[in-house]
Amino acid sequence: MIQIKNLSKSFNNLEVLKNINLTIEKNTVHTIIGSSGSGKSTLLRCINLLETPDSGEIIVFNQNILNSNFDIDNYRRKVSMVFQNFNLFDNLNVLKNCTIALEKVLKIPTKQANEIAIKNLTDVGLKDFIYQNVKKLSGGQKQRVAIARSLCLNPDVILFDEPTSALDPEMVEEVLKTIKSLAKLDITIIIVTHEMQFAREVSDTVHFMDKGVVVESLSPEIMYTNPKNERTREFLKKFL
Amino acid sequence: MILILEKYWLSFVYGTIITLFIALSGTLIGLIFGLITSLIKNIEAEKNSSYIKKIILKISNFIIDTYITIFRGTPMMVQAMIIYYGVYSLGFEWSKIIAAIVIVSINTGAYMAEIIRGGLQSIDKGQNEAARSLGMSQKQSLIYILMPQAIKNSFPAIGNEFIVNIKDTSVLNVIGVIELYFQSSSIAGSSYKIVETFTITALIYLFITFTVSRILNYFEKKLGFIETSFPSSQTNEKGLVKNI
Ligand SMILES: Nc1ncnc2c1ncn2[C@@H]1O[C@H](COP(=O)(O)OP(=O)(O)OP(=O)(O)O)[C@@H](O)[C@H]1O
Ligand SMILES: [Mg+2]
Repeated sequence: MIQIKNLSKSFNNLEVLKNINLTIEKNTVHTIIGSSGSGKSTLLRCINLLETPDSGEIIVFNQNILNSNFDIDNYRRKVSMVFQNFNLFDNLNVLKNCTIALEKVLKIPTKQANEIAIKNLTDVGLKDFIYQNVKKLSGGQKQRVAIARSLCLNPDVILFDEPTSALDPEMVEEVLKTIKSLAKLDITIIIVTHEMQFAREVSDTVHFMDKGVVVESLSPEIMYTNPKNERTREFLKKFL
Repeated sequence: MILILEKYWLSFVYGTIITLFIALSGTLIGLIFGLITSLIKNIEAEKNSSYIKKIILKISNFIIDTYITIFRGTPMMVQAMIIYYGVYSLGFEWSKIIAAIVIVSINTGAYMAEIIRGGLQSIDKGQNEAARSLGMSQKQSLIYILMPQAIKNSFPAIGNEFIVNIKDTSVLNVIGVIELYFQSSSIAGSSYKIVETFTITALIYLFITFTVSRILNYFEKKLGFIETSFPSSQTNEKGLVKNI
């Protein structure tokens, strides 16, 4: 489904991603863990083409998305991103946040777009907030709107970049619960997270990144009980 | 003063209306110029854009930069002379009112472009990233997400341009536009009461600018009100429309 081959990316002279190779099968849940600055966000942002890699290939749906004639806007609809800081549109209310892309990108009539949005907002438990101004929501509610907003486009892949890191502790659970419910759908999910218990429960594969390389990729059982690499053990010790 | 008012009130009223008309239409058209120019300036060539698109963007960016530099760097009075008589010398006889609106619009457009640019810069870049990650093009992101926020953020500065324009239309008397200052000059000329006449003129300007800034303040508060304290229970379809 997603195949990353020899992916490299530098900022100025800082090598942030070094020859990354990853394979992600359809409808699986992958988590990426690793210490701050190891390149996790950059990797996700490359998959969504918010960053342009320096070299390597990213093959999605059998197409190299780095080809110069690749239709990026069309691709991003199918590979959607949920951000640490939610990035809800401040000028729009909850419902409009969810319908704007449906209406303007997919040209779906307002009435139908509203139905799709309300369904997804209901699924994340925010039916009563559809006309609310997004600035008045709690962090947990904001992130659930962001998830609903992504879901409206019916994506094949959702990328989560530390979806709970900006939340107060008491709101982390509601967002993790929402993400868990997605794992049952036909969606491929890649999550960068520091929530180890969650990663263990939800993932099919856990990848540990350090200093721009994927050190090892293991099933959660092995990753959290018996990782092979010394660096992985060192990192995981901090969470046990 | 009363005598002057009694005799010439119609001229004052006429001048005031012309001044307001030029300032208002000039500010609005200028705002549109500013929006269009900053829209074009913010469409970046992307990796997959065609060569022609890249070249067109380069050229239009250069033209816009030049336009902004020239019109912010020279007095409107001078611009008025060049534009009005320039067009005239090409053989077009155009009305002074139209000329005035064109001049104020172009001049204001240059300032508005800078105001909107500042408004855009103050927006968190996550807003654009979120829009792009939902498949919006750069243009769609600008039109539906970034520009509305930029306009809202720069509302005080945009309003201020209107007030500045109310006062600055007075320089258009150099091309003979019959606005408030021009009328006052004529009145002063025929009544020989310069100080009295221009005191009335000053009071009229003051009254307009004061009233306008009050009105703008009201709208500013209202914009802020929607943002900070819209009660959810009362937000209905209408609230939604207002919010957009
Ligand atoms: N746009 C950028 N320009 C320059 N340097 C950047 C940029 N984005 C990221 N970096 C640098 O790249 C490195 C990796 O950043 P990245 O955000 O991918 O790390 P991360 O693993 O997501 O860390 P965290 O857990 O803190 O989010 C960091 O050293 C960061 O400072
Ligand atoms: Mg990160």
